[in-house]
Amino acid sequence: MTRRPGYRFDYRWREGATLADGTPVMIRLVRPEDKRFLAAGFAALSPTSRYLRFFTAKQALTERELDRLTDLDGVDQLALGAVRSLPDGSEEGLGIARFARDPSVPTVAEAAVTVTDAFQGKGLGTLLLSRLADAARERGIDCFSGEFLASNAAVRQLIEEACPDARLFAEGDVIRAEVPLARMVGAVPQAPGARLLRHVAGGRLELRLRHLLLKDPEHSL
Amino acid sequence: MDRIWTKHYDPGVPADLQFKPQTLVAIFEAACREFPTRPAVTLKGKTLTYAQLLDHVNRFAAALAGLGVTTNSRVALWMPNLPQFIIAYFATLKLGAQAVGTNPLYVEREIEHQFNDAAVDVVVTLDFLWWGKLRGILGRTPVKHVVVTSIPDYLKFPLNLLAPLKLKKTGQYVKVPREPKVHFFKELVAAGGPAVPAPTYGWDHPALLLYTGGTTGVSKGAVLTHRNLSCNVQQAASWFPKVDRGHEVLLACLPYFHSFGNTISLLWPVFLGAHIVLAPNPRDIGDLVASIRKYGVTLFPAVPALYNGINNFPGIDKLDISSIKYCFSGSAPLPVEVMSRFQKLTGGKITEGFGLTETSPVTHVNPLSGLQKPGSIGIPVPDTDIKIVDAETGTRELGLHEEGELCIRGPQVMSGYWNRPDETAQMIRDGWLHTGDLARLDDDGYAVICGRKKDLIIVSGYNVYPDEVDQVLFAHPKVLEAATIGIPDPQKGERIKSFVVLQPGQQATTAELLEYCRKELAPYKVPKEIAFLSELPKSAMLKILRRELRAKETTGVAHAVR
Repeated sequence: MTRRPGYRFDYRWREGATLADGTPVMIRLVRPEDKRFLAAGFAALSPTSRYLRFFTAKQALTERELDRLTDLDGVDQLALGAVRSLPDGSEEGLGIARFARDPSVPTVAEAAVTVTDAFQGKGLGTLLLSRLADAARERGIDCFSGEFLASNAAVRQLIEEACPDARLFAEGDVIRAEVPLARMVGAVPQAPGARLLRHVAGGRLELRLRHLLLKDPEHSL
Repeated sequence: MDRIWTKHYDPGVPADLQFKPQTLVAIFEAACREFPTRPAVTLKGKTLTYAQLLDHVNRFAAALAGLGVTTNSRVALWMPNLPQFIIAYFATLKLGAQAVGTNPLYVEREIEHQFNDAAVDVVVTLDFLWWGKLRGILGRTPVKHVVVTSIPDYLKFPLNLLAPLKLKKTGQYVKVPREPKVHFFKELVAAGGPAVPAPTYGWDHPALLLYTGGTTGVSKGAVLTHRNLSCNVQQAASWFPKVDRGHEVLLACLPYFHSFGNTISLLWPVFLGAHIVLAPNPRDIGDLVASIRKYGVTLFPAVPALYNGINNFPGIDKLDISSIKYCFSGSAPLPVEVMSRFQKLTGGKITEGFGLTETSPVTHVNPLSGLQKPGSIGIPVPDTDIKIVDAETGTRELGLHEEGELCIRGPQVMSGYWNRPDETAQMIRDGWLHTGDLARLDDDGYAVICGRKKDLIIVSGYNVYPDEVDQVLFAHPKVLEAATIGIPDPQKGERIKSFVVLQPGQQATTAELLEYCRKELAPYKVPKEIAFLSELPKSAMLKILRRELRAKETTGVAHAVR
């Protein structure tokens, strides 16, 4: 895992929040040592939630999948986890939001949000999605894509409320969502330099530089 | 939208119905009063007249009341089409209790869930189902009484004495010992009891719970009220204005525990005072043909496979089956060539319909003599409104020719799912039932089904939820992962295909997994095909990519009464 300095959402970032039912939670980036939270969180999901998240009656996460879900480079793949402290001093994972950059369209990332059953409907999914979008924009991502089952009314509502401009495309029993991050509710204007970052991420910088240097001296970034 | 389709109704079919606010019991008793001496139901040559049927119903109702059945009781009817089903059904309704339709093919796991979910108080079932499936799990259900009947109970002499010998060989007869909680149908009817007072419930009282799958394989009960079913039978009946009350003969091969059979093969003939000829084993095409000829069957609602079976029955060209007047096909698309050959053989008319368990079920039918459009589910029955909304949000109404989700509003739309307000609210919004089927309308208001947004597979009219199949496969010790899809099937509408990844180092055969599935799933839910993969196609978020699973299969979606 490489640590890239300069991001607001890095491995030192922490944010405290209070859910609608008064539960205090802490949100931070997911690290490889969080595997046990993921395994426990998965075990706490109802069959319905598992089905809606994985599109099958998944029974457990394999070691390989746990690696894949926690060993993240923090730039192209990133996950935010919400935990709460238990009276015995341990922590319990309540929800995760994650994205993975699309290798063929680097300004787009596939995203997913999961909240354990007992904490659904308390605003945690909205909060995680919002912070995940902020973290993604820092990394040059301007659109989340994702699929959810047409029967998953909760996720549709989450997306519609978080981004009224989200575009939904029905494909049989699956709905594909495209969420422009700049249009999310509460999205902050981009910091200077973000556009440059986006172009770097988009692999267009080299082309533009060539334009700048060789062909079109008027063209600016 | 305006009901632009009513101009295509056949002559005599009203655009609006003046519904008679009759409960199902009132419909049944009216037929018994009007046609007491006419045959009501026949099984293998033994017939009960409407007066006799009423007597059996009243006696059984009195017995059920003696077992504590009230307006807030559930009585599961777990058997194929037999006179006992009809008797127990109307007796249950007479007491204002709710009948629960239960598929005889269900395995223990499915029974346990249904009886618990519906809080079933009394089960009326066959000896071998009690002995082989229910007895071992009774303690895990809320069932207080089991009423056991045997197929021979309503067979004529001497068949009633001979049948057990034959049925024993096929496992369809078991001599059941007496034990607590177990009662015998024959004895209850013989004993009867004090007359049951007239029911005190209203038209909106729940009558029937029919189970249909849920998103996650948890089957849920669609609650159909007396109003829903009474209106739907009146709507369906209005489509056939030329039927002859008190003189029709209906061959009942559609199962009574399923919405299509319940309304079209049971309530409709009772509404007409027709003679019901039972076909408990519709796979026996020879028996169907013999029944048509022997009883002069005039009404033959069925599924495409049965029409096709009769079309191809050896020597059918030389047999006279011209008594058939009207047929109603559902549960899978009816191929045009099957339809035209059957119509030619019989001189009768087949119309194709559409509906859902949640809509009692009939919502659409093609006109009998007017404009029929092959490939279309037809036009809405009277007093039924439809609209097409965008599939993404379900909020934006679309115009003609635009593809979206079909929504239904009408008196046949269920009151909701039993004890599941959240799922009900998702399915019925502002009075509109969102079917989960994708459709488009043409200029005449005829609907064509073009897809499905529900994760649902329809096999011969039976709903199968892929998650239920996956859950069973996942529970097999050798299976690491599974994903199940429906693929188009010319006979059944769709068939089930499962993709399986085995645990590392494990080996398994298709036969081994199928044998296991058969213990955990009713036969129609068991996959037809299993493909072994080294891994399932997944997105970066580990979501199964169903479109990649489907990619190898041809496209197309079946439409059905389900």
